[in-house]
Amino acid sequence: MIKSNRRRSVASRRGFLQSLGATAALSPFLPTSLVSAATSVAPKRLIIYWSPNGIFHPEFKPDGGESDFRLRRVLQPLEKFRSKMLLLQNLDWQSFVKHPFENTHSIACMSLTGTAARQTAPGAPVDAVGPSVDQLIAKKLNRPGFHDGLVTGMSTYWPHSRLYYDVNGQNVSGSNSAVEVFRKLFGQLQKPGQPDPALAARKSVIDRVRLELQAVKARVAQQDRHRIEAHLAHIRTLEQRLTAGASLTCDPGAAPLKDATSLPVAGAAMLNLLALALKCDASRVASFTWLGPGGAGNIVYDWLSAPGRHHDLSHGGRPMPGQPTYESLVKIGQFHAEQLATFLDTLESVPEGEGTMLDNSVVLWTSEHAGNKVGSDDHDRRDVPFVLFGSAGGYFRTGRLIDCKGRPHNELLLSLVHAMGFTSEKSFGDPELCSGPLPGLT
Amino acid sequence: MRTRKLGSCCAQLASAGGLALLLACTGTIQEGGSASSKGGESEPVDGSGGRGGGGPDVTPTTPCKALASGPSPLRRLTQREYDNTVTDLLGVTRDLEREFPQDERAGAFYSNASETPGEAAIDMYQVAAETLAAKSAPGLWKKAGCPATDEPCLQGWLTSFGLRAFRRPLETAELDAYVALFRGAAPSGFSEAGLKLVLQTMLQSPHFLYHLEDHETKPGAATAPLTPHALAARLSYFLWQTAPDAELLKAADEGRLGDAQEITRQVRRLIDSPRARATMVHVIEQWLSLDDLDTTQLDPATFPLYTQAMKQAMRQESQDFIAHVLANESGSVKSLFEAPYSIVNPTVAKLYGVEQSSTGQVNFDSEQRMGILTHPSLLTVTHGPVLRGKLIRTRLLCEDIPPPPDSVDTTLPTFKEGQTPRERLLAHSESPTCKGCHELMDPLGFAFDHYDELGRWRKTYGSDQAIDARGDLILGDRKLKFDGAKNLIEQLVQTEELGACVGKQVLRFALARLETEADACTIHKAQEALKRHGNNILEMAADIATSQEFAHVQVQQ
Repeated sequence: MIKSNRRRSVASRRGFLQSLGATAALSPFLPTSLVSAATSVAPKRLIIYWSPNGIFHPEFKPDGGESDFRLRRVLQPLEKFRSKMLLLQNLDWQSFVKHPFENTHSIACMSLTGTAARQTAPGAPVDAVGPSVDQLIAKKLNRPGFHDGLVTGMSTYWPHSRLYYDVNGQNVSGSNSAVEVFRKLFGQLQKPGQPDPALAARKSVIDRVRLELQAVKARVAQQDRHRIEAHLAHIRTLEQRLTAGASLTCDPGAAPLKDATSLPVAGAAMLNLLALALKCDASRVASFTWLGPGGAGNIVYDWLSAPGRHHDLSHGGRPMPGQPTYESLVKIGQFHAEQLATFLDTLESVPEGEGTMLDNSVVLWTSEHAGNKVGSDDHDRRDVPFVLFGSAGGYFRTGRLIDCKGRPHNELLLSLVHAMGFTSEKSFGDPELCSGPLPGLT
Repeated sequence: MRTRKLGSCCAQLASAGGLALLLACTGTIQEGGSASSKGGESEPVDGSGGRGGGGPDVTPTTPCKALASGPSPLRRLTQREYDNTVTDLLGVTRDLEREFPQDERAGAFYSNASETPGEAAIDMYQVAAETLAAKSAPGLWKKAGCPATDEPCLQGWLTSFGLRAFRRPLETAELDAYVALFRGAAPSGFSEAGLKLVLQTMLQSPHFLYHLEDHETKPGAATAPLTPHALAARLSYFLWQTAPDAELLKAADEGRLGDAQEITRQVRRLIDSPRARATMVHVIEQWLSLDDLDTTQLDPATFPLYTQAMKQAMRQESQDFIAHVLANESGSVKSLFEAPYSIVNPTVAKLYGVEQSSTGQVNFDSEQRMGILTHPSLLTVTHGPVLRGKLIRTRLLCEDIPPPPDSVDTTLPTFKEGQTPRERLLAHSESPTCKGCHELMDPLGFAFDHYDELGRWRKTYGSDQAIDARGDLILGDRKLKFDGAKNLIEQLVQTEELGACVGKQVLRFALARLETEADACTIHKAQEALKRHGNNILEMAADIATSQEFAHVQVQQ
């Protein structure tokens, strides 16, 4: 991961789009030479799209009826996807109601897990006590060597973003570097149709390293053996990646040489790379987290000419339309919506079966609290925003606004698990909060 | 204040003064060492609940006759060791943008001694190995000058390269295996492609990545001597943080490292080199947590001067100062803590309020600045009285401070009108649950209250509230009164405890682990060495390196 301090450069919209088009690998449009994964039934995909400090409620909350809902300013950039979206209102973090905890931004660990929060010692990190929905699904997909459960985003310090937990309860860090993620996804790629001498060479290196590790394991003290065993297990993972990578048949284009320093450009590049990963079937579950909760996301979106730091703005009371705080928050929300729209466009541009890759996927946009909702406090964990795009191969009945009437968000997370094909799961997160998927979505 | 921990930002943004997270604790505290046998820090200084730096009470009760050594766990190369080794071995550097996952610490020092390596680390080793191999293979192959079918030439090259990479002679089977890798790369003959493969393999090999301390076990013996090559490696990684150089390897090859005089000669050579001083700069940085500056965050609105450039400048000042003391003040620990000057660069000069257009020595009013404990770097990493007090207690006095008990609410009380920051923390000294630990820490931190969160001198809190920098330094059943930082530092430097702790810390670095009861004599020797050499930390390190204990390991099953 890059340990850099990003310059938030001020760039006009036009400049931003130009720089996007400058490098082939950063283009929002996929290379036309891409060969899609040759499966008879397209696989289902889940993408988590997470933004900090809530989604500005006054201009986010949709109005109207189930099908004739009206989108406000923040969601406007996503209007063209109206038939493919599911807007969920009044979904609550019942996990927070049931397991009260100091209501800080650390509670974001409940966002994708639906469990209690736990802190082992004052000053220690606050963590969830179960897996996040992406990591659980990644584990169930059981494709060793592939990159299900890939965590990406723009954080420069991942311990701030404690959102993702594996099935062992370990916090999962991500990468903010498209260069690194590209290498991880496609570094082992073979050119279609040609046996790659490099593959055999890599295998011989791994074989020799493994042999040496096994010899060392026999020699070290009893208490250290498990550490060499862990090392061996990771070598096995490298080998699986080799095999998995060799099975990919897409052409991802040229590897990016350098990571962009501007947040919007780097974010767009990473999202584009995720789309590529899905297209190539290198990954079926991935996440993109703009920035970590609260103070970790407290940047100035200066390229939007939106003054104020995002976290501070989100605690700036209940601003009125036209006020600078209000307008800044709208612009920030719209920025996240626009970037998402570009990503969805990319998925939509890939024909799959009778529809598109978007139809076979589900993309969840969510955040950590209700975002300056009128009549509620600053960290309201009720009516937390959840918006779905894509039907996951027909599982969701999209194009609707649903009032979830205060149901626990665990049920939505379980719906995602079911949508990805694992319908035998009975519950997600705290089992007392969830005995089935969210009603009314299918 | 935005702390490193993702915490109650909302409450803390509202509070002025940016005090660190409160700690609270319970019960009585044993003086000197702690009760726990493996006490020590597993976490950084910044209030993250890690324990203090105590370690067992290791005053030897019987005279030190028998050779004893604590258990030496299997250690993986730290990031610095890896980078230095690779630079020396291959003549190229790793792309430093890509960082390895954070090294594990033993106490204050990076060690990688007990945790299992994560997938990210193993993945990074692969990336690094491939990149480094690609970069260095052309040059190395050219230098090797082996014709495509000349196997003896290749074996010769592999033998000498393998010796340096693995820090010991290759076994025959290994040599054969690497020749085979060469063959596998190109059927037509040995080539640069083969060299690349061999490099990739060696750089991911456990023989490269781990400190495998070979030793000669004798039946029934509790300790065993390291083999000459293992000793050469230990000496080199301790004093230079890199693999043994040609001269050290030659001494090992020729069996001369069994001779005490030869060891002394080699250690002298290593210690007198600038590389040893560079190592000691890093030792002291880690010891005083200055490398935690990277992840220490302060609210940018309240501290606009605290940019990335300022962080670097703070560290630079401390590094330059330590290097200066090592080179010009006989590495004296006393000078480290009492020098009335620093080596100031133009950026950090802003915090001192001095004009400085270039880097150089600046003399200070000794009432205001005294040694490294008044450096902005250290004052910022600790940014408040509790953590400053804790650092002194745990790192300078080697005492153990347990984290606050789970049941205590550690939220800062809201400011009362007219309260000074010191008064606000009064709960610590009044509450029976808090007092035990906090009366050891807080007063020491208050001594530094004339320095704000960035280490800038202030006469008062805010515009007019007087600062009370007096307190008691509690040492066992002694209480030393002090008034202000200078007075505290002067008294600290006189204590037996500080000297003893310095010895312990450097030994911890040398062994890359925390000490156990079996190391009691070794520690005692180090402490005596520091005294004998007039507090010269480099000479003490030399004594540690030449000691019998350093050349032995505890035999484990």
